[in-house]
Amino acid sequence: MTSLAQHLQQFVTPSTNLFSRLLPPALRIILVSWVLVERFWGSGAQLKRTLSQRPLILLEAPHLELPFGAFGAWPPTEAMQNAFEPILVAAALCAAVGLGTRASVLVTGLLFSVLYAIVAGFGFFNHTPALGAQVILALSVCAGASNLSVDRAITTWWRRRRGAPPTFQLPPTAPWGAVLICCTVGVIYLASGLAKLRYGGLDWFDGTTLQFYLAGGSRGSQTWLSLPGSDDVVAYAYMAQPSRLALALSSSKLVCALLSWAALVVEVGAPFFLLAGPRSRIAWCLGAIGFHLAVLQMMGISFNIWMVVDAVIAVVSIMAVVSARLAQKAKPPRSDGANDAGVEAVLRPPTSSGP
Amino acid sequence: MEAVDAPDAVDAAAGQVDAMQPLHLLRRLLPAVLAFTVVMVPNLVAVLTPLEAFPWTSAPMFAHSPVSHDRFVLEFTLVDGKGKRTPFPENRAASLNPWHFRRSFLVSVWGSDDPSTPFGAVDPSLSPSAQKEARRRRLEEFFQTLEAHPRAVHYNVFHGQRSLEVARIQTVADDRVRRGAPATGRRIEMGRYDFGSKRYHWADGSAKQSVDAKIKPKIRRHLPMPTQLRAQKSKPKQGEQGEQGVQP
Repeated sequence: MTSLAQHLQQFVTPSTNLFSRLLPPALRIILVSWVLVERFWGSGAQLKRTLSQRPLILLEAPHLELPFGAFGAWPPTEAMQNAFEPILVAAALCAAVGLGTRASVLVTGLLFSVLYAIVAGFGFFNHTPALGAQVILALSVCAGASNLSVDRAITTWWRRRRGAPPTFQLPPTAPWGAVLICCTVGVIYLASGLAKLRYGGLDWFDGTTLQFYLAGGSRGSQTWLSLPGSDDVVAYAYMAQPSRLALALSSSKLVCALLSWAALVVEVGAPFFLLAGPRSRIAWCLGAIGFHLAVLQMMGISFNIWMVVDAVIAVVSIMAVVSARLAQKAKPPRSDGANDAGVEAVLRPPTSSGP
Repeated sequence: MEAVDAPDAVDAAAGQVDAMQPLHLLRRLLPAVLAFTVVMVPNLVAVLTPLEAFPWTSAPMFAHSPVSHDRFVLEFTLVDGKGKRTPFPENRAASLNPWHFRRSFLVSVWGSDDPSTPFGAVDPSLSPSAQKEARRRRLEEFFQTLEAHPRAVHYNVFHGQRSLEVARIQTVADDRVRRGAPATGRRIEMGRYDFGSKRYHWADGSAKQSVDAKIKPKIRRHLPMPTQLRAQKSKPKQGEQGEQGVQP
């Protein structure tokens, strides 16, 4: 019981651990900027395309699948549609620089989700932005999300005016913020892995399913899948554009089975590797990026937002490990086991450790 | 949580202070518990239910085995008063490309017969006849909405048409289909929406048998390998029913 209380206390006590302090703001800045540039202004420009069709998509389409429809604000008025784009861009810019951080991150996450929910309502559930949207929404309630922000710079400047000593360090942050991000990422990968176990079963383990897709079985028309010899529809087949490499690899069932198992390790193992420790986390992130690059090369499907999130987690983890090593070298441990930096971190009043 | 902080030896802060009072600890825990609840519970529901409602998903991409199932392509055909048949233009009628339209049609209208999938499964508590009736009502509602869609009206998509026929083409992933050619195989009519009565009628058994009875289904359980595919001729066979090709 005492041990549990200690663990919980450690979980919510502001810490000087670099991973806890840096991961939420780094993800906020990089992910929101990426979403804005790549998804709205970039070559993908799916958001812009969706908005350009808004009279049809937002008002006239049947069977929209919208999680926010229950709020009574749907369908939106013409004025609401016109306000959608500038509000989304302004919120994303504010979220990226950290102005009114939590509110702007929340608004960005919600509007981003609504936009892709519309796309999903039209038969294309795009899993690539799903993880990004969830991480952005999690950042809006996550400890430490405003650590690197205009908000914090203003607060620091105001305190200095009132005589406080200048500080440019990231404030101590409770570890649960970074853990929440890892759990969010991990559970989405886990869901993908569990789905393969649930629906694919033996066909996934022995490489049959992957072989089908790598051999280009789903190219051409959109196919539905039904129970053998029955009219009962089960699902639709996903579309893939196999490369020459994929076509070559698909000739070996053993290779397909190995690739299937590798995908399962990455997906089912995600939450465990992400929470097990920094080294396993770094190894998993690099493995996951390799997995997505392989999917991109062989099947022509880009999970770029997932790769951005994995890369940020990997880089911040590496920075945390390196900084801990340097700190250990620079400051030999005291004989009584006390640690000045840690004690100071706890005694110093936290400035942004909670939502 | 130890593991997250473990390598940062400088961060031994929590262990260096007196244990918090229970109330103090609870007060600090509250935001964390709320945040985890808000973020994680919908995800767990999506995984267990399963569910696909953006941004929550059970992520079933590429999970179902196409090899262990029969595969077919859905075909929509407009039939006018003189019996002239034309392919249904999804882009003009609903501003959707054909594969989006077919996915949306499965998830939002037809519904998967397997309740363990997130693809708009039918209600398993209903009897088979009640399920069929519920599906017919969804189809009628969908086609009525589609008929009145301003884009469809603008392009006169349904003007002069008598019915919209829904059929399935049992498909084999042959070499030509892999390269984006139209799907081929046995065509089975599933039903038709009548624009006059605004009703959807299921195709009867005789209609199923009479359509393209000469074409035998060629469902391969195991795909031919690329080496075999290269050896195959890509010439379409005589008498096969085609459907407009759809590039992903």
